[in-house]
Amino acid sequence: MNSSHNSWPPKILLWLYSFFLYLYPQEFRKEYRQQMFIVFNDLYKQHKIQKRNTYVWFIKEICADTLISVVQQQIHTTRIAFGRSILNTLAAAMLTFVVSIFLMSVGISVYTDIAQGGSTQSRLQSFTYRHSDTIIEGVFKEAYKQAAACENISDMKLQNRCQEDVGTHIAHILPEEELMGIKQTGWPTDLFFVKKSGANYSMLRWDGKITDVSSAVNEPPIINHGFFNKLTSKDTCSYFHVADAYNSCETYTAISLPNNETGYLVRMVPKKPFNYIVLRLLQPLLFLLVVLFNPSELGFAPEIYIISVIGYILFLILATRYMLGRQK
Amino acid sequence: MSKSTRANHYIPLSPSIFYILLSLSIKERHGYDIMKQVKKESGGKVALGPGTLYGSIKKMLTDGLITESDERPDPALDDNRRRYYKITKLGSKMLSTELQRFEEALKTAKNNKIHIALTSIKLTVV
Repeated sequence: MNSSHNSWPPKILLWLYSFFLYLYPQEFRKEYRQQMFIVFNDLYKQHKIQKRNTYVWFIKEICADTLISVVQQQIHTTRIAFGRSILNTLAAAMLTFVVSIFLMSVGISVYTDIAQGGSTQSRLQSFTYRHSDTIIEGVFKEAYKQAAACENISDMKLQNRCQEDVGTHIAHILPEEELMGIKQTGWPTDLFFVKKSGANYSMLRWDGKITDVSSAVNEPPIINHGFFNKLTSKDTCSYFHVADAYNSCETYTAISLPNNETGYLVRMVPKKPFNYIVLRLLQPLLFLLVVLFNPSELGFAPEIYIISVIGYILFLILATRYMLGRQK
Repeated sequence: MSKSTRANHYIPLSPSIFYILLSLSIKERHGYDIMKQVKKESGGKVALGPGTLYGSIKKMLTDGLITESDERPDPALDDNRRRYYKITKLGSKMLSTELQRFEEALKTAKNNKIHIALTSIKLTVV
């Protein structure tokens, strides 16, 4: 057996490609599914030899090809079934479904681009985080203790200097971060400490200032939703409408503190390509589930509502036309 | 409508159909081999993906321009599930007609002394 047979695409790509194949008309799929899979594997092997970025290759070559050929095949199939009427062609349920899904994907892509277009995100693009998860309760408490002590100083100049010292001191305690390949010690500007005391939330960041952010924070859930949470990870930080966190925050970690207080380490981290692709391709489907079972989860993104509602209206209109066409 | 009448609708051939026929006129090939050959022959200008390739193959099979070959690769050397395709007489005729059309266009260009166009056509066709 040829040794190149051992090089298989990642499971997620195989899974996605299988899904793509289901978008083709049944007859076409039955006839060519196996052959297309073989060619897909061949292309992947070739791409690995050329050492190009797998996900860029997948989007640029496979997704684009699938989008074009699915529409071509669906139009061809429905033309045979319903004659050459454009309206009847559009009315085919499968084509409508494909169009709706792609419309929603486009909507979500647009939203994601808007959300990521800020300068904070581009600044963070080259960060490599290695140790932030090791920040412990001790550091958190120490930071708040020192910053609170500064607030008792009445002289503003001295207070500012004290706060700067807090920032510097905590920066020394924090583990080393790696910025653009160069090790440096410092309090990363993308890391916020948020503390909940009773119903009040306060935020402490790199400049050593404690700010009341009660009105900008909603109660973040402690429950870990696992895989689902990962897919909608942008959601998680919508609980922290503070500073720039809303636009690029992906994660937060809850720390239990004494006296029924809770601490949150809110971090902005760059998007990983995998998550980005999953968000673009799968979120339309998840969106359906979320809206059905927990609409409040998506309260942060009106764009998604608008684009999706347009998609659904289009779907309903065309599906109705299709049903009426069949009755005639 | 007969296959040959249907096939006449192909002229002029689309770039993908033209290059697929051209690649199969040399020898029988499987899908991926066709893709590679088309890319090579067209100097990278026509790049087919799996979907567009099998879309064209399906259309050409229906219209009788190509047919599936009985040949299967040696399982020890390659995946024996691969299907091989070969050009039919009708496909060859279409390809010849298209090449003839190119030739005539080339002659016309020569007669009209269109030197710049001639150079570029020569590079593409020859």
